[in-house]
Amino acid sequence: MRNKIRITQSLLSAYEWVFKKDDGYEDFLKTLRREKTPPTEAMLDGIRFENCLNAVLNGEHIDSTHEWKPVIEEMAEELQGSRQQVTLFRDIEIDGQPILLHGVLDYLREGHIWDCKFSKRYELNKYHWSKTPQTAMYFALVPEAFDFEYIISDGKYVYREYYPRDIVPPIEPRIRCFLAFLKQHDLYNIYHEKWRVN
Amino acid sequence: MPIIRSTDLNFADKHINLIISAPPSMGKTTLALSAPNPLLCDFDEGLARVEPAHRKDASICKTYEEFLSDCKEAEGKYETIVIDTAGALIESMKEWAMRTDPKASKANGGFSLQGYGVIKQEFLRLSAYLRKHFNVIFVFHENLTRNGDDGVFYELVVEGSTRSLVYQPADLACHLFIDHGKRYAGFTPTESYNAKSAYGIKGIIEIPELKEGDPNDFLTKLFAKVRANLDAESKSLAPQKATYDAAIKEARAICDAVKNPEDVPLAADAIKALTHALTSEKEAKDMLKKRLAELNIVWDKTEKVYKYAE
Repeated sequence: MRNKIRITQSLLSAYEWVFKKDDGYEDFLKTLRREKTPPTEAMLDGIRFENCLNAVLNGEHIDSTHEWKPVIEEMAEELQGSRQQVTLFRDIEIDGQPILLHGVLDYLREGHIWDCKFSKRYELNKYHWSKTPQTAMYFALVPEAFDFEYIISDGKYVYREYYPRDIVPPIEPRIRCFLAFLKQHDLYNIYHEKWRVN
Repeated sequence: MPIIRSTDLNFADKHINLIISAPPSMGKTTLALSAPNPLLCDFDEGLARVEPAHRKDASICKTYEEFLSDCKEAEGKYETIVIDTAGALIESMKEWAMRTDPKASKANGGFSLQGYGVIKQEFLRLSAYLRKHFNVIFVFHENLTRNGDDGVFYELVVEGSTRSLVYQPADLACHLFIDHGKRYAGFTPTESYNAKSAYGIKGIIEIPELKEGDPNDFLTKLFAKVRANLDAESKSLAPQKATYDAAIKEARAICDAVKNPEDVPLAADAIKALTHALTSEKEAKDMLKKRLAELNIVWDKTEKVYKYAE
């Protein structure tokens, strides 16, 4: 019986960046080894934005002079009543390897998944399902969900990217490529060591 | 504000906002004029290129104010506003912003960075206003740009910083192309063009060739299909929605009743036993999990019991 291993969208995403960025391989190794890295300024902005949005969703007042008030209110109106930060797991098996999919959804309600992004320089289709494994991964975690929307802000405007389930290919082929890559690069043992489910 | 039951929703009057984009000479204007009872707001003198049989009423817009005034006048008389091209509309907005908002002009007379902010706000306001009264079709020219080493990408001809924004109010967006002599509209984004699918309108749809005497009604039929799809979707989801609402309501009561660790297994069983629909089971489990966090209750893996965290 093989050990079960965990996969997150962040790990898959770090792997997919290997082919898109010069130092992608080094960054991927850090993620694979679960090395702690200090958050970037962009990450901190994203956390601050999401905290502000969640506070408003939980009934807190946003000051009329707050720089993000219009966009936070627009997003909160859409997300009202949703569950926030929903941690989910799902067991799957790929080529005999037991795998635990693990993810934290930003928002879930009535069959809809939302992911909040703060991006100072948003470009159209930035989060297209072909560019990030997150959409396919979250659909796998919530088989009952019928659509996924990225709700994005640059602080001034709200942008949306909408993906119905039927246009997003399943996550399994991406996981298969990832596992093959680990084997080719002699990283499979590190993966099992660091990501095994106890 | 009265609450409307999902089963009572009626989409017969829903206005649709569509982007049509293509390189020149693909028949964008003719296609746009196939929408129901259109008024062409012709910023680009495109009407002259439309076959006389398919021409419709037009407003020749010289300034942004003229365009707004013509839209006002069109309320109740036309069902669809066709903006041809939206790139030219945004250029006219720039000229309007420089005349009316001091922030929009640089000291040396050029267009300022803040000016683009003014335009973006105005574009969103305009889109919301138009949607209240009409279907709206934004026609865009496209340019071919490079994408990676050997790919190509069709990009909207519009001021760069507004490119991401123009898709936001749109329900649907299609890129027109010709393949083996047939004309198609692509509604799903690909590596070579942007698009937007919704309400069951997706992928590639062939646009039939207009022969002499044929009615130009492709978009009229497409909009009717959107409304029919919306109606069917709403009706098919209604029973699930009712079950979902009931499950969430009961789950909330179950979670509120949890006061101590002994209550947790019963609550978990009760949530599992509910009749679930859509994502109600996952949401209900999340509710319980967060209730336990509030009460500082944790699962002890060794003793296999719920207890207060130490």
